[in-house]
Amino acid sequence: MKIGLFVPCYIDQFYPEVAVATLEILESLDFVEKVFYPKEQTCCGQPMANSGCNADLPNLANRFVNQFKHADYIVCPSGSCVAMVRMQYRNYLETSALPMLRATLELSEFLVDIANYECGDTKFPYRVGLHQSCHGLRELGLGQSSERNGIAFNKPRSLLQQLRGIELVELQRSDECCGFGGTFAVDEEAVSCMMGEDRIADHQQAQAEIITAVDMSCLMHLDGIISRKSLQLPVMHIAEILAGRVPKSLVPDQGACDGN
Amino acid sequence: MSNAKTKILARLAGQSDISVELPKLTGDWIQYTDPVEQFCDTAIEISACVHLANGRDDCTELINRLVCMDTAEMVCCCAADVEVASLVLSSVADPHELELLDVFIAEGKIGVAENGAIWVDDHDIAHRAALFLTQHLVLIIKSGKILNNLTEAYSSGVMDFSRFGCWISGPSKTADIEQSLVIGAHGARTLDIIVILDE
Amino acid sequence: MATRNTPHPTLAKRFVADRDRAHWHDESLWFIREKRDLQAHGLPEWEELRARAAQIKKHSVSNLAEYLLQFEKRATALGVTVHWANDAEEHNQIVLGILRSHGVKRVVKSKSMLTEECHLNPFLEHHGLEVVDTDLGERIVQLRNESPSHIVIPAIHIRKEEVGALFSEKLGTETGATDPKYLTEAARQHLRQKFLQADAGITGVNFAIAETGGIVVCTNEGNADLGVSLPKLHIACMGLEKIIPRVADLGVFLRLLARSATGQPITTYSSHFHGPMYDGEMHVVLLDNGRVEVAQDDDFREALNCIRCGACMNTCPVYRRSGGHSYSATVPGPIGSVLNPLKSPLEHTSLPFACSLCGSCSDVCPVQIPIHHQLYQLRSELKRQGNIKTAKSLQMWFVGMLFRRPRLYRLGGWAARWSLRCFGKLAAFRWLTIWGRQRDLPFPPRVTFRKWHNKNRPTDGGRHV
Repeated sequence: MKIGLFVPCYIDQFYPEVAVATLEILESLDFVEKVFYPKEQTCCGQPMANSGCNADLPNLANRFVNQFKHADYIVCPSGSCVAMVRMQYRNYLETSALPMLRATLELSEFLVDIANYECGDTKFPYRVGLHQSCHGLRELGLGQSSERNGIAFNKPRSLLQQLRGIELVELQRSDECCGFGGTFAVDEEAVSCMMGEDRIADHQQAQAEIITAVDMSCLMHLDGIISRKSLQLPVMHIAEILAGRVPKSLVPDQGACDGN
Repeated sequence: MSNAKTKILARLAGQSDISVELPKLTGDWIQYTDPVEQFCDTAIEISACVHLANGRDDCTELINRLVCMDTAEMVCCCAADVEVASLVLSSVADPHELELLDVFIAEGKIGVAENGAIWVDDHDIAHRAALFLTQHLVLIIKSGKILNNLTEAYSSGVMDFSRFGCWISGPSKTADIEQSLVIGAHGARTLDIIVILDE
Repeated sequence: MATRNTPHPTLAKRFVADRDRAHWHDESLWFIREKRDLQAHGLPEWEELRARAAQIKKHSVSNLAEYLLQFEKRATALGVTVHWANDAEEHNQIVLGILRSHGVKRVVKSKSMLTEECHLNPFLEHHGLEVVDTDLGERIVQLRNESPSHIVIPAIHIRKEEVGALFSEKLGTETGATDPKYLTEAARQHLRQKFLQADAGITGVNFAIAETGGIVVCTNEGNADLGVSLPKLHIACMGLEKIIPRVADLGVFLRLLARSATGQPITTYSSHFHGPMYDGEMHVVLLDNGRVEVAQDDDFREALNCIRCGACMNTCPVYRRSGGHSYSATVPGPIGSVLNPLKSPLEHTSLPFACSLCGSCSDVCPVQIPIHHQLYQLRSELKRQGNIKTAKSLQMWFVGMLFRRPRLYRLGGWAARWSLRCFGKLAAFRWLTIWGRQRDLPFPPRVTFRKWHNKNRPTDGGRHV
């Protein structure tokens, strides 16, 4: 199986370690013959489309198809960018290209649905708050949203639960938006920041030591507030945790692993 | 035909045909092992008081012992076979005369287990205002008339859609001031439900 | 003609600035969302009900003419007079005409968003009538000369101390009294007199049934029923999308409405009016006011599914923190951000952007309106109509250009990282980015992923695999 690695622009530029972790996880899978990374990729076009400016989308959609046409699956460490590709690109592409859009998957989705991923001996002995990034949750259906009535499931959570020593905290509002929302974060700065502060407070009251999510954009927004307020609450992308990275500012509590 | 009607219909005539079918209403809707018990539980949850009666005589006795009857001066009963000293509603010319009505007693046609509501229509009620103007409302319902859910109620054939009818579920209430629930907004301050058990 | 309203972000910022109040507002609404969840999750068929409701509404909205005519015929047979109005002005004239022909001086009105939309109260008052809103929340905002900030809970933005002060001034309650029970009792006494003195009652309409010619009005307080059971004249005002085909459809809608709105299994009173009361008169006014246009719009037709439960407001993280008045519209919140710009785009340009696209509104909506997708779609509509600020368009054109050209993108990325590394901690720079005013900017690494990949996986890149 050939996998195309789709790296969101801001991860390429600001958070390369998330892309490296994603690559390592994908390379570790037995059935994966090759993970390739098309160097000409830029951005999925979400910032413009969110602002009502979608003139660039036909071009970006076609470039996407060209870059990834040899992939069996296209995997991306961002629910939001995958949602953009899967939901919006179809309006600008030939029908022959549509199966490719369906084969574009968010990392945790790929690991659960396609790879039957098992975390093995990976440890993560911390109290972790899982932030439900909205586009992953409600557009891609990575989990059951709290509004809906049905059988509860959550793909990122089911992966994290396998880690040795991890404790996933219960939030008071299990899937409220962090307030990032792309250009919303700047257009509606006041509300956006209040939403971010409220999310952080929820993780704090649940005594989370780390916040994780499938989208680095949510975490960038939350981390910006955490850092400005000098709080001790590091953020990590789920790929970093699954790849066995250690939180930067926390020393692992050896005892927390016992009996697990 | 009025000018506006012509114009609106003309605009609607241009409506694209998207032919969405009207769905059937049959379905796997909620059923309870004991709808009567469920009805009582739900009604209590929404601040009604529920009393069980064995037959009409027992019902009369229960009503006469209700707290709201203690100090009631103006009482009106539109339920058949209930012996309560009462004003005759049909003798009242103007509903405004009911301003001081303390207790009003009526019989419901259907009860619904899922939401604790009782269907009352104005077939036997000369002034529907009595249902809302009274300080305290007493509704009688036979246990055999309690159905599982609203869909069953609408398809029961018991509801008369040529006159006024109302689902009443609990006493009147509001939470318009800081979301604190206050019972007794404009309508009845209390609702007593007498369930007459099947013999 | 139309002027742009104060943009949502400006009003929202003002609301958020009073952080305690914003938090209190958020918590009050979240409390209702939680009550709604208990009801929705307690009914196994919840999602099936939503699907049926959406389908019934879609069917009715695409067959409006047929059902409206059927409704008119049946209602007329029951003794109701049906009126048709193109717009708010016609609607108000019709209502005034009916009231005048009966010599009405005092009117009691139950909650109706439609009459708010038409600004019926000031219109009737201007013509010398007394109009009293009888829903407690509406009475509070009416006494404050305000508009409702929520369609179900009109006074959700007002604290009990403020209600206490208002009632003390207007209704003579004790100074300093803030107990909701006491204040509600005072309103009860005050409004009872209004009900008894009224010459006519006006109500909104939750559902109009084509099959039977009846209308359904839902309240918890009983104010609609009192208002149209004492006076002999009943005028019901409805948007023409309120029509449903069959009376049994109520078995679906009444199960969804109150559960979604307030977390109750059903409202205290769900009154079915079929014809006027004995010796009385009943009128129904059907209003278009832009609805037909929406019904014909393939992209936005489903917005007319709305049953005005307000659940999208209670769940919206933006609405909860910015308050209903920040939307400058009769119907605020997510669904209002769809409906208002559809009708008057120039006045409401900022509303589709007052949304983080989290999608909670679409998941909570009992009639499955894809609200956040419609908001997203509206953004490009507004852009197409030229209603988006040039600065924003230019900015997006520039970014788009970078993303179309990988070389330029890399250069731009380098410039962004470089400036963030050098100036990211400077106050002025932070201020200019807006992002950095309350949040730290990311501190970018020296090496991008692309560079790392070139070095560490030299053969796995590019198109040729």
